[in-house]
Amino acid sequence: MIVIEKLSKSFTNLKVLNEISFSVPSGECLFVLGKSGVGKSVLLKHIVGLETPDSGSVIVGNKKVDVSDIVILSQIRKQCGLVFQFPALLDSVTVFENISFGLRARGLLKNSKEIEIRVKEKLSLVGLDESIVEKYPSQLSYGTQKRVSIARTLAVEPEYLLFDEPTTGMDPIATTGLNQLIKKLTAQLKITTVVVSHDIKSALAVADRIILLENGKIVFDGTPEKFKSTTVKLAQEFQMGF
Amino acid sequence: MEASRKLVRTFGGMILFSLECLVLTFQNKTKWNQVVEQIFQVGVRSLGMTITAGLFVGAIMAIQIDLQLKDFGAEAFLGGLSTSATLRNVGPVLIAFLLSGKVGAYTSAELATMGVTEQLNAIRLLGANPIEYIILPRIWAVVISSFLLLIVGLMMTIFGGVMFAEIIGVNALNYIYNIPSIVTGWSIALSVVKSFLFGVLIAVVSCYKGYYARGGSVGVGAAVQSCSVTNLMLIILFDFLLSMASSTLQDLFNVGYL
Amino acid sequence: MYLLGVQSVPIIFVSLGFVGLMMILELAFHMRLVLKHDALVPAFSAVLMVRELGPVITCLLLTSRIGAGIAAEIGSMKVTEQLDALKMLSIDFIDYLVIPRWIGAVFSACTLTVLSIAVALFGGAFLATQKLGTSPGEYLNTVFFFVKFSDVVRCLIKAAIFGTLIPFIAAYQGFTCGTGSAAVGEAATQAVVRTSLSIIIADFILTYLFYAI
Repeated sequence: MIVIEKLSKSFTNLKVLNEISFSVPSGECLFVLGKSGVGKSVLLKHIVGLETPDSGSVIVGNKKVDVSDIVILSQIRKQCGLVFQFPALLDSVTVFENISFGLRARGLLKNSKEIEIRVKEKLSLVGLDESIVEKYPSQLSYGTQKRVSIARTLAVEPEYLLFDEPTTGMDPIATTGLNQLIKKLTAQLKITTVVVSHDIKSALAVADRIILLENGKIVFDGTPEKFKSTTVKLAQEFQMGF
Repeated sequence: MEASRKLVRTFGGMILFSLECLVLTFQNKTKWNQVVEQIFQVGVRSLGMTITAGLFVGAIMAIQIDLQLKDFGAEAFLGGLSTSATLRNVGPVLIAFLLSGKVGAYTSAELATMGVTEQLNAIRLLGANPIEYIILPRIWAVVISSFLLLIVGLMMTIFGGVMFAEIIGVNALNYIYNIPSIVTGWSIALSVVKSFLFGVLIAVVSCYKGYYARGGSVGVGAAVQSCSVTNLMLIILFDFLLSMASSTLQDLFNVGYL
Repeated sequence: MYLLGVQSVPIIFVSLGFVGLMMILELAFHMRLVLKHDALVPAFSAVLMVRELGPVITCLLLTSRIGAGIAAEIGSMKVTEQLDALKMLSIDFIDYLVIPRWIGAVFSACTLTVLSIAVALFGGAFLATQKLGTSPGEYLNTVFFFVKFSDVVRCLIKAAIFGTLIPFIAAYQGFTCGTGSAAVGEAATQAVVRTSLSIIIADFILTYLFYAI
């Protein structure tokens, strides 16, 4: 359960988020849509405490996100996995070390055999071959890097999975694959997912619920079916666009 | 007013940043095998440049001192004076300038890139402290390798001076024999202390500037620029402060003179 | 473009002021060691300032400020495909990007060198009166006696050549920059390093040509 209450954030006089409130029940797959630069990524970063709100609060599970409380913050971060818009792989180490980084850093798995099994399991989950584990990120294509970054996030088995523009820069086939992956994860593992995107096609295919942001406010909140028939102007424009 | 506030914030930030690194070091969080690896990378990359710079700086100083001494017919002192002036002052400053570009700007560019491509955020989210994993090995590697490179560079300045002396017809042996008559232990100690301090400055400034860089490829460029400017200014400032301290100490206790 | 030069003024003045102070300290030490008196300290420091450290240190500071700036700017223009856009508009980007920066850099290098030497001498005069007991008048007299007009001309030639090296090397690094934000950092770093090294080597060559032959 993620609860966001009256969250506001401005950057140099520009009000990006204006008293936004919503909650995500456990096991739900929520898509947050909006035009570029509307503050979707900022919203995600508030959930894991990479941004500090001007006012309002974010509650993950039963804990309030508070940037100054390092203990609580690290507990929350342990429950969350965020897939960044760009792969954000550590380019000085191999794919294997990238994926196992979180496991080691958090001390989740000590046994190197277990770590190896976990890494291979997550690689096959995102549809990648084991042969790339010894490669460095710079040797991989962008789409592959992105999958590795998803595998890295999944490796620590988070309760909450957050995606920032997951399909940006991916070809249509990879996009479909990723959508199916998100669907599978929410269905099988009962993970709570928040996806920030402007990819309406994926949203309609995958989401349990869609939220539409405009000028720092929520202008639509409902199921994909309702989204198709809504009279909200921006939602209609979004659907015309594809 | 705005500028002075910015200045205070930067230097306050740098001091806190280095304190945090020191605390983590004392908690024995440094990965020393990574430090060694980084030292080799930095050292090998910068060795050629340091040697070249050292040779030329030594030669330049020899020309200038030679010119001035000629006016007084005191050429006999050439070896000692040019070596002493280079070791105590011009050498460390100029070589540290170059290292702040080669080692410092490189480090800050690398860290800034990690920052803007969210690699640092990724580490935070995976439950690790980026300062511990990324900064600590680099900061120590830069301190140690800059110090070692500065010492190598300073030795090369002596060599450059000797070479130039030979070119202009001063006997190289005379030049070398004259060195110990002017270069005191105190001067060598001063230049070693300066080298170490410049190494620390380069490490702290470049890691700090790189770690806090924001805003895409423009941000990376800005971090590099601001890192090298800050480095140069601090090097000059600390060079003066150390020379001042040294001269005060020497006058107080009457040491270091022949 | 010479806006860049103006922004660098405070930094360069403060730095060179300290260099001036430091020169007096160090030379006083050496003079006492060799000649046992320090009457010639002002003269020596001024000569060394004008001939060597003035142009070199000023231009090294300019390198890190203007050089890194130019490389980063042109580099990000390349990364964001602005250079390709200029090509499509058939604008010659040497004319458009490099020449104005060149003029600006040479102009700033020369003026800043002269001004910063003045600042350094001022700092030197201050410390000399404090530490050595020479009056500012005496100090100026010895300075003008020992620094010849030809030294000033040579100093300006040095500054102009260093000022030329800065934008050209930096622009070259910018134009040959790869893709991505990592490459921009790389370009800026390379620009600073290569320019600084070239300045030191050029300084050696020029000093050799001017004074040793």
